[in-house]
Amino acid sequence: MDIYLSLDKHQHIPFLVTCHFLTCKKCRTKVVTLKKIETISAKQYSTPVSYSDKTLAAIMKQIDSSFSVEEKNTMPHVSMTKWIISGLFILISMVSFGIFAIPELRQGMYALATSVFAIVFTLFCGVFVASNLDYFIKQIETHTFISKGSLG
Amino acid sequence: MTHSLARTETAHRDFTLVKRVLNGDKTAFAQLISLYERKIRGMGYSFFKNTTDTEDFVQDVFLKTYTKLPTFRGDSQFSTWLIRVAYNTAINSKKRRKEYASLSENFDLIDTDYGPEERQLRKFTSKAVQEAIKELPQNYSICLDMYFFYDFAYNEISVITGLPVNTVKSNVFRAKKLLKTKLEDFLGDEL
Repeated sequence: MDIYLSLDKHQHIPFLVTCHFLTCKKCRTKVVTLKKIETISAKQYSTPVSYSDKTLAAIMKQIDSSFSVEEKNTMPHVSMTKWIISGLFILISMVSFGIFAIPELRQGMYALATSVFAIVFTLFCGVFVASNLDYFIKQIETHTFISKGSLG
Repeated sequence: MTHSLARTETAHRDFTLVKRVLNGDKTAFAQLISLYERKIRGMGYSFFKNTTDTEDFVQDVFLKTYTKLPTFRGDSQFSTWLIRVAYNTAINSKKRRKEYASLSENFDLIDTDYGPEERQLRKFTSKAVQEAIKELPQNYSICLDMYFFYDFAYNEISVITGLPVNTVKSNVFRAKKLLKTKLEDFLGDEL
């Protein structure tokens, strides 16, 4: 355990020490927790501050008085209303077909209707993602960025 | 392995941002501030122990960094270079307090969301680091902060503080041993 403790950050663990950890649950638990501790401790100070941060704005103003942080930090505004309404419309249509369509019609049209609904729903999801791709990319980048936790 | 990869990515990202700043892109510098402000603020609070001086310190460090950026040769990682600028600024400041207050004392400074387990582990780490610091000479306590909270390796800490690598290593080792002992009590039945 002392050999492990003397190692530097991200240093390769010697083979014999690794072998010991594989066979000793006690040490393994300690190492896992110690690693977790190191990650958690560093995470707090690795999280980026928002662009709307006052200090950041103050520094940038001193560097360039015309600098505007708002325009550099724009996460595109996505209106969800039309997507929710159209999504609900598709869902209601699907459920309504199942409940209200007369049995004869339902029998004959079942395969066709479900296929149409499946295609419409897939298209809906596809168009939703494609038209808001920029938003999703920014969201993913922001979260990957933050969750990496070792930006230092 | 994953962590090393993340560090390489971080170094590459910083290097690209620095290059963009040097080419006149000020947004890139705003990104660098966003990435490192918490670390600089943490260090400022440890040296100045009040928010007004800390705020001045943070601004001073980043303005200095912006001015000195053309002299950054890329011999070390940008984060190491930046923290060194911050450390020297703090050390040379007339306003700084005599005693360095470890970041483990200022854990409530940043309000970040943590789960119960993470919160417990953080409390536990801060206690262990505080106890280790009590056993260390005053000027060495920063080594532990740099290792545990700023995520720097031994040689990077040595570059920043000017302390010999072996001194850094032995101080961190002592803290880790203490942490391990405390961990045994903490994990109790799980072991």
